Amino acid sequence: MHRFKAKFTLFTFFLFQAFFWSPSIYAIRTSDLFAQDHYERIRSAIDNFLDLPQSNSSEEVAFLLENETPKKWLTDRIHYLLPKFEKAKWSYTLSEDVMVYPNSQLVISDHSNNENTPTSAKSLMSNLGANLYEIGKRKQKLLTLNLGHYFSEVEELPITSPRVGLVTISPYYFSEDLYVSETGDQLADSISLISFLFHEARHSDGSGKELGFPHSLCPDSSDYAGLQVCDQAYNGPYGISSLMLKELGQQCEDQCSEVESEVLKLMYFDFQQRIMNDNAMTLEKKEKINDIQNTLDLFYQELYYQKKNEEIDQLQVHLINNLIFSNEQKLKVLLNTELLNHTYWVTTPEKLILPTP
Amino acid sequence: MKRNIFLIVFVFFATTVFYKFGPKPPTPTPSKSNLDKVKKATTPIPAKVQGTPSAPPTPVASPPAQQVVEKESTSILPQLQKVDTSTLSGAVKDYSELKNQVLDSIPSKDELKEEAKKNPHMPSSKLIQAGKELGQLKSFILRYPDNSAVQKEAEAFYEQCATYTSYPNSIRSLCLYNRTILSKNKGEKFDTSAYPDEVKKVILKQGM
Repeated sequence: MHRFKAKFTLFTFFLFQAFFWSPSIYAIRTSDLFAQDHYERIRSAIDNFLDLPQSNSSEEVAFLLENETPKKWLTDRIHYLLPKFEKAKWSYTLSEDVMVYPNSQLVISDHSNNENTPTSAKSLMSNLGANLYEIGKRKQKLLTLNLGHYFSEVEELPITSPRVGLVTISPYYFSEDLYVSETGDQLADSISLISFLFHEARHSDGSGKELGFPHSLCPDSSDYAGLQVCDQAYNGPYGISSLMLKELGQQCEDQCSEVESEVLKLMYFDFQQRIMNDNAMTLEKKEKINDIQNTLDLFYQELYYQKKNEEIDQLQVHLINNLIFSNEQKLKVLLNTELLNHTYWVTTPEKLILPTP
Repeated sequence: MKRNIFLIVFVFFATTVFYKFGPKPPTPTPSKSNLDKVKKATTPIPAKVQGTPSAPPTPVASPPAQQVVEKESTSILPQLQKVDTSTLSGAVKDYSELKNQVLDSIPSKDELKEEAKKNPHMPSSKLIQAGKELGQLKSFILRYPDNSAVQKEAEAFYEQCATYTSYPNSIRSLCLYNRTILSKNKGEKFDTSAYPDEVKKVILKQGM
């Protein structure tokens, strides 16, 4: 009887979980230390996004998100959202034992030169997990972050990978001059926030020199020439966030005002400007260019032999020239938008293998 | 009757003369020049070529497409200036007032960079404000699709804005995008070839 009771209780528990447990509530944990209205805006944006049907992502989105659904992709890379307070110091411990990190000869020093403020004080949103992993890697020790202050259910989090999924948001992010809508609590604002989360989520990826998908110096032709706010990688943070902005912006055409849509478009253009090699070629695109080239080669040869004939068929020559012209135009468009360098960075994150005790 | 026959013969004669003696386009270069880095797929060579021992077609130089440097046509259009709306009336006056607000709101590249130093990851608040003003202008323009004066003003404004080198590229791209939309709404295609890559690349991506 006692065994039956226990089984019944377990069964009821799982049944309850199946009916009432909503993964969207727990997939990305948000700290209670956010101001109430900030907390609500974050939760509303995330929950709305996670509840969206996401079966019809574009091919480009599927490609950049490694064929994962946007929902899964984001929740794999962000697990905790924390408020970033000014002069906040993160409480962490370093292991006594020296750890052997992968690619330890390739340590990036740009982001983490001050261990008390590992995330840039200026940045409104940043990937704390990737920054802390870099600190641990530089010191060759395992860094364990004390999260008890932010989340009652999590005390300590060993930072064994940049993909531990810690993202901080500054209260200044919610200031009025950054509102997309008039009130700051509309769908357009949620879309903007989600696109930034996708940006930060990409910083959870990469290894070696590409650990955390770091930003690069912008070229002279950029609006941000000389600043380290551009991406070399086609699939970098700005590539992902701009694409999500475009994708979600299209879905909000009915619910967003013309003004809100225009702001989202401008943000999209701004992000796109920051991708230096946004025209990296996928295999499919390479093949497309090859096809046009091969077609052109055939037309060039045909034209050559037509002209060698004693009696030139002018109509045929004219036709071939037209075909050459149209194919050259197609090629020109592809070459203008598709770069010859391969700038697709490998996304697999580094992982510190802990020694067995 | 005789006149019709004469016309037919004349058209036939004129066509023949055109094809025989008319301007001939230069033979383009075989395409080995511009895609060296792209591994080419193997294509079966036509039978005619296989049986020919002679050399492959002689390239007649025409520069590869991507090496053509495009120049910005900044001098063609007058600089963007605020309009005195006191003499205007009706929809054009309302449009001009909105346009003046847009011109006030657009940040310079330097202002954008200054803000990016404080807030590196996000678009600056100035850019967002400019986006809002541009949005107000656009929704006004879309409200008057049949007002030719407003539409002409809008087309001219977007062209000037897309050409203005002091403006951030993102703003110029948005202006160019809106200009192409106005043409598209009229069933026309706007030629973007004169605009620099950093301004038009996103437009090309959208297949416009």
